[in-house]
Amino acid sequence: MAIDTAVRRNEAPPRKRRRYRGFAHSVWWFVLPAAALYVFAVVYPSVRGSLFAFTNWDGISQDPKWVGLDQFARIWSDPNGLTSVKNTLLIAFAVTVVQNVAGLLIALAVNSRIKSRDVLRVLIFAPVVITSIAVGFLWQNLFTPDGGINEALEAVGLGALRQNWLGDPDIAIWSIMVVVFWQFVGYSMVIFLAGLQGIPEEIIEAAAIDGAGPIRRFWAIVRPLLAPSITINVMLSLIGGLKLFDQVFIMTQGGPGGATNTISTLIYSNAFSLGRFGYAAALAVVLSIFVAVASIIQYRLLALQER
Amino acid sequence: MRKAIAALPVVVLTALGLGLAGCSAGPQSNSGGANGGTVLKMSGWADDDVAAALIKKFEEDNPGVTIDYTGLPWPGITTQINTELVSGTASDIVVVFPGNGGPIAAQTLAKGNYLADLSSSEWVSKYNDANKAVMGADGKILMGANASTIIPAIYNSQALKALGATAPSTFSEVLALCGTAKAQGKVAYGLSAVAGGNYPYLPYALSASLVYGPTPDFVEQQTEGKATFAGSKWTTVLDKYRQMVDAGCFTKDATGTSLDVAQEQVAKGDAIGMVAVSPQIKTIEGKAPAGTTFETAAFPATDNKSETILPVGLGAGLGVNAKSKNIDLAKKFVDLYLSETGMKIALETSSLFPSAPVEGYTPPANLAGVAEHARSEKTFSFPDQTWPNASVNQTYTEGLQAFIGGNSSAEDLLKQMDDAFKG
Repeated sequence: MAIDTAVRRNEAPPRKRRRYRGFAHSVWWFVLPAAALYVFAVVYPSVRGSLFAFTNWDGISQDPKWVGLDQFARIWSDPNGLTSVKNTLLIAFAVTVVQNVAGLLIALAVNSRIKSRDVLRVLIFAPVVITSIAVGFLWQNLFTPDGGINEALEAVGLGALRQNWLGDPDIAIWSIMVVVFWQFVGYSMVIFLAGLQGIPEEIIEAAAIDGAGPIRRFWAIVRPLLAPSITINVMLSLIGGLKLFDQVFIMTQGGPGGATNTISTLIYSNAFSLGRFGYAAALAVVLSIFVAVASIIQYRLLALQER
Repeated sequence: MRKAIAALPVVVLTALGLGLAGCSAGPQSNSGGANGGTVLKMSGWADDDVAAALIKKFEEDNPGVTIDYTGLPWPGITTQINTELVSGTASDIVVVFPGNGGPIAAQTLAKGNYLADLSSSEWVSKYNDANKAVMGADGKILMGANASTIIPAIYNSQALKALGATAPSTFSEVLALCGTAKAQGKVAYGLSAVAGGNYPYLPYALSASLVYGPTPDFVEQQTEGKATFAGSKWTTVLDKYRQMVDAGCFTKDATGTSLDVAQEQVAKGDAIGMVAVSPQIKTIEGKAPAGTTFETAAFPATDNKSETILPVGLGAGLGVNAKSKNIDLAKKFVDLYLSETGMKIALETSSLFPSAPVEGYTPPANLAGVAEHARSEKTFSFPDQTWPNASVNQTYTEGLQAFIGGNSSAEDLLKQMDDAFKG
């Protein structure tokens, strides 16, 4: 013990690795250009834009007045504001549920050994690669009173079901949701399909040998292993639903009578048609809060499930 | 070496800053174009043959000057020009709408002093006070337009003849035409009540005879709090619209019918006519079978022909960017555009109704029915050009869709318009 101690005393102190601790030598320098660009292109305009929500700026005059929270209060007293909030939440919820349930079912179907699975995958995914503008015009034509949908109903003897799909305020919002679902169900399907193909066959086969039926196998094995795919799909469809603009703007421009306005279309019309930039900024802030809150909540819930 | 590494981010950020700074520019005209001359920038309508012909003439008259033209489609043209004017990057010459209420309307842009004062231009004297009132603000003329837009009833002459009818000149005749057309499986008036449709124009035509003609200072009365939409003959306007809806005058399911479809109905004779702005006649003609002709008439609101007032408003025109570096040259182009020479070039190139008298002008056959009326005293500008803010028009167009669809009453709509009018 004594010798050991003596040896240690005689040893030269271990040479410390020279480390550059100063900011000038920090690895953060490598992040700085990207961070600076992000701050310049995203953070600064967002903060600056949000500040307009507390003013009455009309997009033209040089001296906007500070109006506190008046623009936010206006959302709840403006019939269009309330309708747009209601529509946005309805679309986000309905599209998220239907798109993901249908996407999962389709993914399960095309993940099987059916012969036409490759063709089906391509057909179902195809609408995703079409621009929303083109999709909007396509369906606008199909939905006109003498368009393809009503013609098809007539052709199969269901003429009594003819509707004014985009002109009836009670139906128009649902027509738009059908289009969104049609366009993006393939997107959900692909993500689920990738998840399904990552599940080892042996586990499912072992469960089958142990006597687990299809529903039991799905619930106890496939579903937990698909949790990351569910998380990403739900988050993307929820955010997409909350921000929905293109399809609504092309097909109805928020009509008839404002019945299909979403927060995004209302932001556009208030900012660029009505010159109410302050009110539009307040709506944009509310939309951002909705997206952030909904994303955090569902991410936390799904993260628990993933564990 | 270390110093060089430490300096790298500074260099990157500086380059980034300089690069981004380069993205912003001032007004876009410049001297020293490809041939050392002056380049004027102009933002106008896409596929505008009149603008192309005028530019050619201007460049011939002004050697060394070239005009760099950017054609913009509707409705993006309004947001793009507005944004460029506010950010200081607009062209020297831009499209401007008369009146108030839109992003590039003269009185909207006047709030930020974005347009140059054109009051001293020679062509200003050709316009009456009603026109001048919507061509600028605070006594200044900020834009000029070479064409007037009329809101007539446009009829397919062959379809009208096939019914054994003539263009109605009283409101009772309108309802009678609706009945006759319906009995033969057609509709009297094509109607599109979707965004961008022709549905707002028929009440404009009715209100000209019922509201603004009898009370020319109606908007002033509203501003002073002495009149309201809900307490005026606007109620009669909407009652008559409702009568027409109930009589089956219009395209079925108009709230889901696009303007394109409604125009095709008129072009093919499935609808006898439509009430729309005069530039739409050309579009309808383009959709019609060869040999189809069209005629126009003022749309009556009462059973007394002499009470019919025709809505005639200035069309979109041109203004000069107040921050232009070549403001005099830009004004010179607007002067050409509104000169007798410019008007004649426009008339040779396109079928329009000139906003000021042009020597030797003969209206095209499809406008013959309203041309004389349009030059008379029995006209009134479009109401939306005199409304004090864009919200009134937005409330009107949105509410009218609900009204046509039977989801809103006239009282509710007019009350909402009164609220919007107050701002």
